[in-house]
Amino acid sequence: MEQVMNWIKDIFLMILSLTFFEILVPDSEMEKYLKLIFSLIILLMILDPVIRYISD
Amino acid sequence: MDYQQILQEQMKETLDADAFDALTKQVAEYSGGMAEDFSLDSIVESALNGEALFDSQVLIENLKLLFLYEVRSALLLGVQILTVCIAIGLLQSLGTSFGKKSLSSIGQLVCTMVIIGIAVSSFRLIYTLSLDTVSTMVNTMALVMPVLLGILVATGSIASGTILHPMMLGAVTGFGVLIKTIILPALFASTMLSLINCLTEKNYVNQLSKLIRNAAVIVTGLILAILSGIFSVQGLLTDTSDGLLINAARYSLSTFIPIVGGFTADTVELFLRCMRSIKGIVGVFGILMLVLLTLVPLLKMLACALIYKLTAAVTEPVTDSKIPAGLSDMGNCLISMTAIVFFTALLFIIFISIIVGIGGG
Repeated sequence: MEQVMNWIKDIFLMILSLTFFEILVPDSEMEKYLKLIFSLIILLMILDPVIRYISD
Repeated sequence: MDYQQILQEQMKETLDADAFDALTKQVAEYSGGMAEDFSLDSIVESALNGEALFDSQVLIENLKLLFLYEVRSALLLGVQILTVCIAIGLLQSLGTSFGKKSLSSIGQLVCTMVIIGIAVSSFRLIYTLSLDTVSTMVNTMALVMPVLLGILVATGSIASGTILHPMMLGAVTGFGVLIKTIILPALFASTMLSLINCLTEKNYVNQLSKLIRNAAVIVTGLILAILSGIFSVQGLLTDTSDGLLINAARYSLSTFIPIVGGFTADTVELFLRCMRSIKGIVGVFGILMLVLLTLVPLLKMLACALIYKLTAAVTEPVTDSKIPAGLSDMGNCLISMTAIVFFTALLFIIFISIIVGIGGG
């Protein structure tokens, strides 16, 4: 259960920091692409246990 | 010497009165004074005299007062959240009029963090409360079950006692550990995820949170169904063989021993009957303790869930962010948690009823 809690904590911190970052980025053409990249990062965070399970 | 005296003497010899008194005291602490009316002696008396155990009017009145008290003490939380939500609404409208969007967004983010902090700190309290409740229930079962199973063997249900004893004790402990280490923490994680979801405009982890919550509830229900099924079938089966054994013993006593055989058989019969009554009384005591133990925590959890839901409904006009949805999800998680604690109590009550039901009750 310790690992699961750590996983949740990681997701929490990542989403929090990315949201801050998203607000701080100035309005521009690149914003859409940045958002996509952020989503991909969060996707990786969520899939982290699965990736670890496969690589073991 | 009448049957009441016989029964009370048998009870003194078979039961460890101190342990039961200690349990009653512990339960009285948990249930806020509602358990004081119930002790082993009072149950015996009302069982022997055929009186009603509950005064339903008083019981309902107590329950109502308790629920209202819990709602009132949880109301502060709702007011706190509502205040911060109004601040968020102000920030939104001011932010659009000033034109500087990022500043007000950061303000909103900070306010949302404050709400999450308030909500999590109260949720954590309830989470530890539910963990404690499950532990106390397992302790109660660990006290009542060996006594019940011992009496079960003494009533002549030898096969039932010897087969059910290790299985049931294992199942009770295992179920408790499973609930405490996997199911309830999973629900806690699900709540955290749904709160994280408040922070962002897009849904990132909404479905994940729902998946975890549903999985926890379904797994608990499945285990409950399997365990209660196994034990009722096993109980029925061993009950049949035990009934044969007892009848054969009684018949051979009264037929094969000349003159005194009939009296002996009757004495044995009386002894078994008294033992069965004691089993019924201990079973009722165990069930009552379990119900009283779970009642107050369940009411507390339901009151908190009600407050979360209410706050979600009230804050919706003020903020158009995702806070109401998150709070409502939190209420759902709390209701699931309540359901799981209730399931645990239900499983234990089913176990006790199976044991009491064996051998004709």
